[in-house]
Amino acid sequence: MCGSLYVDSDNPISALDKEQVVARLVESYGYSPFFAEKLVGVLGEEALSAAEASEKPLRKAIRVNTLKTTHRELVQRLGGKGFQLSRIPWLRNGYWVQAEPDTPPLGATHEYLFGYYFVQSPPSMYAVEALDPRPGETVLDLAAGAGGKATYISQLMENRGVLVAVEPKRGKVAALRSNVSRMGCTNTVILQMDGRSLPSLGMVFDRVLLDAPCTSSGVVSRHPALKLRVSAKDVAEQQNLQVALLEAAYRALKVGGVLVYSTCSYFREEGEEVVGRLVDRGASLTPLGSPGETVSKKWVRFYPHMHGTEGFFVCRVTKN
Amino acid sequence: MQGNQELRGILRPPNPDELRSFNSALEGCGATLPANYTLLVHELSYREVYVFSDTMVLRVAEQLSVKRNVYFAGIFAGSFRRGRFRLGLDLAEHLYRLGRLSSIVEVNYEEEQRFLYGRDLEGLTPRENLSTSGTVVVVNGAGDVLGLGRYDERSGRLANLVDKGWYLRRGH
Repeated sequence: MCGSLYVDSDNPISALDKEQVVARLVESYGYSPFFAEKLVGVLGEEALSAAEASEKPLRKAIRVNTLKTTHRELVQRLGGKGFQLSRIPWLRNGYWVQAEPDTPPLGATHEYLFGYYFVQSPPSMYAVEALDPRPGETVLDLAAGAGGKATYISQLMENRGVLVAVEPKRGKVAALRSNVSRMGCTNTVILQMDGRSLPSLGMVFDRVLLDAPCTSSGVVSRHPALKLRVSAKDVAEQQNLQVALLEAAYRALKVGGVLVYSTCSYFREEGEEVVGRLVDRGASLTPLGSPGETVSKKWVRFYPHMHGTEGFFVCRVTKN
Repeated sequence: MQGNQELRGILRPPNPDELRSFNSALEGCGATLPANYTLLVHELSYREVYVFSDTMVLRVAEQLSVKRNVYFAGIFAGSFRRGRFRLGLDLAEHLYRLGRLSSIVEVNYEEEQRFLYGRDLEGLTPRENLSTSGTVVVVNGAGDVLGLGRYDERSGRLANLVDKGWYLRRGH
């Protein structure tokens, strides 16, 4: 259903030349010239389709929390309240929300309060499934945010083994704790700290997820102001932080361990270029089974016009 | 962006007084902790208790707390207020799901709606599934845990101690 998840770099522009596409992104969709040029650099002429798709709200999706309920029970209960769900075939626990009632909102049903599901974008679920955490392992979520991915890691670990979730911001770490509690995760240790200080802990992990802070250029549909706000300075600053966090994450990974790096950004500076630093140091990219395809790719990119999701980058690395 | 101040606190085993108070609170709602579970007290400006069902999580929390301040770990068991331990919802639900908690009050749909809005419930009619007075886990007919209450058998009043509507009211 999702077609190709991979777009080769430097898509050639055939019908319109680059300047024309950039001009249309600026004039018709309100992007800054900087953002528009970046987007065209990545997607070529398809940047217009991505921009058009980003004008609409993203499709909503949820993750069934199998720590507390079953797929069947949740689909039945939400169905009884007027929600229409359809399985996302390339995810283990993901559903598109095809239709919802006027009330209650998706984020305020009793089932939500009970922690039976998490409102989560498919690429975020995909990143955790790419990490493939197993029961009994020691896993790190280095930029845990409000815990969407951390709670999914605990779920796939079946609450066995240990998950260390690191988040520096006070507001987010409070939300992280609240979500860990709501979702019934019992194997989590939360640290409020700067992930760059990770090596000082002296711990080694079987698997590490780094969903890095980024410019959020992939989520303009939710935050249209980003079209004008993201600057070259932001990209450079975020890249520096991403490289530092990735270095720390890689150092904390055991030999043979798996690291998943992801961002909700379109820009190569925040995706391929950051991961490239590890490859230069001898790490190997472990191909990802592209969802909906039989072919594995070195990394996966999601786009709004192709997948109905935010722009997102996922890459898996093995430490040699 | 990365510079928010860390929350300071240490993780330590409970002292005998704390352990007594913890056990008493569990007894008060007909709950027992599995023998292999361990407690740690998180000492901040107040004291929280975390329970560990897995020695691996306990070991990592202890190890990390030497070097860093652990914000949270394991299962939230409750906190001390004015020297007395108050059972928290996470551990209560965990024990209820394990079948190790017997003080339970079941409410109907209308009562469920009110309880999840943080309200107390009045005039609960005595029925078989009503527990005796004290701290109780409040559930609906499907067995979903709604929160914790203090039930008074004589008046039929169920005071809301904590409920899951808190997740919305808190804004997370």
